[in-house]
Amino acid sequence: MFDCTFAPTKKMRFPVLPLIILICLPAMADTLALDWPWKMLRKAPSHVERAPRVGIEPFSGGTGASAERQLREELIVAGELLPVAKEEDAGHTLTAKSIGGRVTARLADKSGKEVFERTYAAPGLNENVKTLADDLIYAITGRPGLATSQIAFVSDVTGRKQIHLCDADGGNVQQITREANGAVSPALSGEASVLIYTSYRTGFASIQMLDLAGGLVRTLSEAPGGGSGAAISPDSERVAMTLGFVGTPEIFVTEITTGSTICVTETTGVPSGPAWHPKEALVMFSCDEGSGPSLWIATMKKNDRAKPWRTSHSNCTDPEWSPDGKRVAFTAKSGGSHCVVVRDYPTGGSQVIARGGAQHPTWSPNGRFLAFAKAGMLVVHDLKTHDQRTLVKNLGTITEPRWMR
Amino acid sequence: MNPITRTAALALIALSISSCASAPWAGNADDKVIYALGNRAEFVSPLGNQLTPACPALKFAKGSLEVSAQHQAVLKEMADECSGVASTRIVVAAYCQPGLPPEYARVLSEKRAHSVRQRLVELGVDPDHVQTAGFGNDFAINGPANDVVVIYNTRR
Repeated sequence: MFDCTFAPTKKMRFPVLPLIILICLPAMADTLALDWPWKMLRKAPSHVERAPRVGIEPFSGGTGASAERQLREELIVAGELLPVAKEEDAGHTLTAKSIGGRVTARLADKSGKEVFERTYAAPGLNENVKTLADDLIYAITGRPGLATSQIAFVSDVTGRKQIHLCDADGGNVQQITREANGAVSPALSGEASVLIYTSYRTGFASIQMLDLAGGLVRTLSEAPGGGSGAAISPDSERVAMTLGFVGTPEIFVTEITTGSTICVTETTGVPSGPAWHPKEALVMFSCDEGSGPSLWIATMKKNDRAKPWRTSHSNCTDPEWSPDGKRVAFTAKSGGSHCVVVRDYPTGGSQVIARGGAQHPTWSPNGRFLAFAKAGMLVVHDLKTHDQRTLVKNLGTITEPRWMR
Repeated sequence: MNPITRTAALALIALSISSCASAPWAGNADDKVIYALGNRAEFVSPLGNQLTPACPALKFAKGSLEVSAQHQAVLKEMADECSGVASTRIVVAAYCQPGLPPEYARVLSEKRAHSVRQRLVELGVDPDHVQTAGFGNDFAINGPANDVVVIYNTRR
């Protein structure tokens, strides 16, 4: 047991005992598996207070206290669920144990009916808790969690542009590519298992596909005439990209497994930055026919011509549909500098989310956050609270963020 | 029908047909031949290689996609020099200013490189002897940082 007796002397003028208790409290809480001091020190933001409640029983096992504390923190940061004590009124209850970093968890609804029971046995406690947090959020809200999601971006911190990855909170930054002349224009598949990017390894642009788990790289297109702007379809089976082998740049769609390729545009300008609709076979892209880029929509149907999508903004590039397909974020120009705009789709109002050179917006998988590049930093905007914070800075110039879909 | 009315109606129809031919929705009337790119195996990229430009860099105005009259003289001279020379291997490399969105800059530069290549081919250069590279603003640190097209001739 923890012995905390202390005999004050007459010489002491300051209240030393309370001070020592206050300093030791967080550490003691972990050792004694106490719940309340953590709650007292880390109050949930007001929007989380209104989120669905999940009752969490104290975790058992050697690493249980750490796992529980981290899980609560992940849930508060995600803002989708409010972790409460078991006895409080909650729609669901979680019971779990963690031994040696493994986590076994059971989620039940209010009637006691099991929603899921899973064991998380990845090498690290951190990874297991993040996966559990995402599973809880998905099981209760139906929306994907962000704890295991990742953001790809380009940074020139090494002197050449290379692709990097970071977690949704900006932590765990890793350089992924080490291409001879650099790598740009990243796209991440669902579950961040595949990264597609433009490589300059041969001195000319080619599109590469990297299996992030196995490390294998496959060339998707090495056609002459340029290739860039890859976007992975929601089912991860096709890639839309700009290719120029026909003598002028056009948007093509390639099936990853067969390599079968079709051209979906017929422009005389600069078609770039294709983006997939999450549910329909539509590709939005930017095209400049000589009077500045604007947004267009192409279907996958034969003989269908792309149609313009009016935005009431100028110099529109880098479109990306929200995960529910009801909004589009894109880069536009306002007051001489770039800004990030969100506009309802197919019609409706638009809102400037960030000014001052903000570029290349990308949606979080749950549609609540927008990440973008601004002043060389990776910034995230909470569309619910309108809070903005920097995720990654001091890493050279950061451009082209792309959130895992 | 009154002959005058009939003549007027016919003239109106003829006028409508002739104006339709030049309408923007009528498509490209002259159906310009676009020359697809051939094999790139024998071409050398300016990235990582010290190549000397074959002619002065072609500057493009902001937002401009097409070859201007000013570029014409330079390209004519280049084409006269290279036409019929089997060992010719031209790389048209295009760069953009740093402030543009990176992906748009890549395709804009590629489009400009294609426009220059197209004009060289129209001036007599073998299409198999010209390749393009649109670097956008990816190499602004080490390479040209403005809206330019640089032509390299790396003979085999």
